[in-house]
Amino acid sequence: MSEARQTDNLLDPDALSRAEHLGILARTVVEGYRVGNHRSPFRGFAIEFAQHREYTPGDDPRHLDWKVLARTDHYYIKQYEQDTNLVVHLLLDSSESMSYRGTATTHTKFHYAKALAACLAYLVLLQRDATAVNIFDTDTREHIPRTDNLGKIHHIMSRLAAADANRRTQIGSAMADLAKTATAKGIVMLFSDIFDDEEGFHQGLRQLRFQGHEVVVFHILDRDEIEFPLTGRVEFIGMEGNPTLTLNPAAIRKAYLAEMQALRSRVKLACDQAKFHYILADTAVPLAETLGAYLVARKQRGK
Amino acid sequence: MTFLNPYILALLATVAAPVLIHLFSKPQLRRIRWAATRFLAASLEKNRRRLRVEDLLLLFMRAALVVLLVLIFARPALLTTGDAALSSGETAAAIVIDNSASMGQSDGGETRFAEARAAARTIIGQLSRSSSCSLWLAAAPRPTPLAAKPSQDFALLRRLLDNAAPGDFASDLRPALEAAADSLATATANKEVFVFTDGQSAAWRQSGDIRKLVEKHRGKIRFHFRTIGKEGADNLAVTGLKTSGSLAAPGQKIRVTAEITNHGKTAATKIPVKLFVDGEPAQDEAVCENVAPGETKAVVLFASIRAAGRHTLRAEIPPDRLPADNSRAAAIRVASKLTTLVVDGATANAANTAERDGFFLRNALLPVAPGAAKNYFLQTTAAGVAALEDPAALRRYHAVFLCDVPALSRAAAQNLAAYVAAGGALLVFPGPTANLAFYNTDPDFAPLLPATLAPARDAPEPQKFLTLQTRNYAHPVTELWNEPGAGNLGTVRFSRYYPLTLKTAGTTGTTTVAAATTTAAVRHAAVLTYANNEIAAAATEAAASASAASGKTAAAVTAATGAANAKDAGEAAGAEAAGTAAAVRRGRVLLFGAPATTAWGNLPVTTAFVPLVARSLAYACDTDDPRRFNLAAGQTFAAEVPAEYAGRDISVLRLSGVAGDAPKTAGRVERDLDGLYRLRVKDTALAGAYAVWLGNAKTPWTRFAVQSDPAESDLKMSPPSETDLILKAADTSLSPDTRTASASADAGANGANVANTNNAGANGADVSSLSRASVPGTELWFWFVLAALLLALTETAFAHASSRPR
Repeated sequence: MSEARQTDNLLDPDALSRAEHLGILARTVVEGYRVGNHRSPFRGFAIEFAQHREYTPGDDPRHLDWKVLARTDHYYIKQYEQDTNLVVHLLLDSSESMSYRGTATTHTKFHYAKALAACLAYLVLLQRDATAVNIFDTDTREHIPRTDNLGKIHHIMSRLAAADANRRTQIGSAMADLAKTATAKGIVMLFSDIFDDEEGFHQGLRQLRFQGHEVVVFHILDRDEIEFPLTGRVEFIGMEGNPTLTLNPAAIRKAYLAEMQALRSRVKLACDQAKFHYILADTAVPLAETLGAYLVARKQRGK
Repeated sequence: MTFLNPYILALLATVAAPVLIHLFSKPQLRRIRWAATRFLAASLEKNRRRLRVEDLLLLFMRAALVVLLVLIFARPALLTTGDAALSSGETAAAIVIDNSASMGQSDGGETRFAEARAAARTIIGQLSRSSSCSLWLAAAPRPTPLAAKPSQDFALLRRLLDNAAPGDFASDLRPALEAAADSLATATANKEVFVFTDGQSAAWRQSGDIRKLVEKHRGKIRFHFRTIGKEGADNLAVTGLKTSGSLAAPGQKIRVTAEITNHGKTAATKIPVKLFVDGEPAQDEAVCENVAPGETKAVVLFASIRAAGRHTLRAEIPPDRLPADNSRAAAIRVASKLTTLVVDGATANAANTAERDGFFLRNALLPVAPGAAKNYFLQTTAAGVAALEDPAALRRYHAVFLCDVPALSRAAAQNLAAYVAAGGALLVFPGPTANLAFYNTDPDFAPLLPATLAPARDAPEPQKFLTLQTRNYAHPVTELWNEPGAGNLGTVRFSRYYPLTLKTAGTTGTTTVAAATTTAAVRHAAVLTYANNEIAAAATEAAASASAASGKTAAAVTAATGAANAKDAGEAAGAEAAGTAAAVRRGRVLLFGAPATTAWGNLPVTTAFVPLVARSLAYACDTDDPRRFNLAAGQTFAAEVPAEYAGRDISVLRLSGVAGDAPKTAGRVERDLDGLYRLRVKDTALAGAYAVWLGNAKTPWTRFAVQSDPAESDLKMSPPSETDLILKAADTSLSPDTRTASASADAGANGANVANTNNAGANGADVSSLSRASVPGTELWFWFVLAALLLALTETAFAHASSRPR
């Protein structure tokens, strides 16, 4: 818990320094007004009012609709269409299975995923794109609205740090929710081990693709889960309501690895079919390496 | 397979150890909160069957490993047939095999000797590498050492056993047992003596000595007596073969008596008996009609020998399971010409030869027509006592008859003494003129006589005559009349006679003798006794000395020849002798109690006179000890040969009647320490007729016979008391079970038999039937260790491959 709350740990300086110059490129052409990294498909300039929304603490008071406040004495935020050209949605799985920490690592999968998400959020904000964060288990537990303000990074990090991973998960519903709310095309970065609700994951992928999102799946797995090097007699205490098993892991190592490989293959296949990115995030691999590898690959594909 | 440490097998219960360890051990269980239990469960489900099989295999291998370890410490060994009494570990063993003739019997397959040999091989096979063994063949006259000292070269011992030849020897276990025990004297390991015998009664004749021997070595040496085979089956044997006391001459019919003994339990009928001479085709054949169990019947056969010299006779009956006694051979001497001197006493100068005292004798010696007398092999010369004065002339005669000679001059007496000592025959018929003082006291003549003469005495009232015995003729001279068809001497009557007082052997330089004509074991009896007054006087002698010069007394020989003869001698004790015989050095003297005239009786005119004279002469002239030519199996044959034959090769052939047999070389003629040259034949293991050649001669130099002990033909087993006494000597007892097994020799009861034998053997000695028990053989621990190592390696590899903790 204390580990999760150390916000300073989430931004890996090494990862950021190596990733900063790479940037995050939208693979597809996005709408936007800014000139620079993203070419807009629209002609002219247009920022249109979209709707009012009740003020919540943390909203920029500059977006308060003073007129409405004056008339009704209620705080409403004016929302506009397309505040920015690129929105990166960070979708973070906070299920109990993400709290596993293997023998080869010093941190849990969840921490690794949070750090990865924090770095990516920082990078996105740094290049003046917008980001939004959704932390989910069976439902969306934490939502950090889209923002393009780099100054919000601390807010994002503190919210990430405060998140716990101790419940079951329904990744499908989280993705479906996102698909409903994020109507504009953007990049959805999913951080999950995808151990449960595999069908929901595939369904979510299809919905996000239908919405025109680009999905990047960070498959967060511990080294132990990948290689299964355990020996001796082990009592495996199931998470998320799974049963406890006592067995000799070496005896079924081959079968387990086959099962695990099959899962990874299925997830990767689904991503490939949708032309999405699939990144195996081995928690024993330094964050910088995982992030750098992803960004390099992305840059090459973006050209 | 068996185990040398079977009690270790109790540890086989530890086979449950792997299971118990699994059940009760608390292995270090790691607890891990695991995210991907979904995959674990799926993997487990898919591999559940495989895991169970692997677990069972591992459990089996680990249990098998425990079992193998226990078995290794239990010292597994292959079962082999052997003797359970043999100690395990280092052993100094001595094996004694009875090599008597009775071991040649078979039950239709192997002979007892072959079975004993196989059993001995088994014992050798059981010995550990550090053990040693000596081998002995037990038989009279002396044990034969195959390996006198304990040897560890078992291959050599086996070879010696294989080459060991059976013989027709007499039983004599004791010397071999003593030698076997002595051979183990310096050994430090467990000392065991195994004796393989057929258990025949004859083998236990010296049970007393054997008992003492066992007693002497009690606590140091264990004796194991193994009887081979069941009690002997019916056995017919030729137990005697002899000429009937008449003179054997070329062309003369020789009367031969073969004794057939039935040692079986049922009567034997119509037994054909054949007589062979010198290995030639059968000369005569007769049928023995009926021989009751335990009975001995005499069968008379006739042979004719063409040439003078030594010849062999062999009587044969149909084969049975003991071949050694189905034929019996005897060597006889056929004289070419015999010259006799009949010395008339007071009537020597009578003009009418019929009035001379030797008249009847001379006629009896020439029972042929006057024209044929010249060609008759027996020549007689009549002379007065003066003829005895010339020692050179005297030596020309084979026999001298003194007929009513009153006394002799000193020179004549000395010449006569020298003549007898040199091998001459003297037959004395004292008459009415005899000077008893001279006969009884003359320093030269009296020692020649086997008896002293009392003053002449008339036959007692009321008959006023004495008759001769009518039955139970024991002496070779008179045994002819034992046959019903031969008549008897009952018609002979004496009205007056000289009572004869027998001298004891050695007192006067004489030795009473009743040597057999053909065998060493004939019945001995008086030459002649009177029948009146229940006399049976002179069991004159019953003696057959091993050699005349050896000085063995009649009593000694009688005792040695068994109870039957002693009984006869006892019956005869007190009978008054009508004639006696004695051996004086190399010669023989016969003394009768009456003259060979009709003055005191009718003997010369009875039909018995001619054969009596002829047989007396034959007996007196047979001074060449027949035992030298009729040997017991194993005795060395020795005969003097002229110096010109020195260095000649000696060839010997056993005349078995089998064509194609060739003589075997048996050494050379050598000079002995006494300066005489002798040929020697040592290989006389088998009974039968033998011919001996010198150099390249075509005709045999001599012939001799080897005879088996008639006692060997009786195949009855020893009575239990004999073996019991031996066991008592070893301070133990024979359990009833063992006794039964020993008696029945039931192979099916071997297990119990051997077990009991073991118990008895622990105390010093055991007696049991030969058993082929299953005993530990080659140890298998090496293979079990190898198997355990392989299993351990397999288990390790398998556990590693199936990722199981060890």
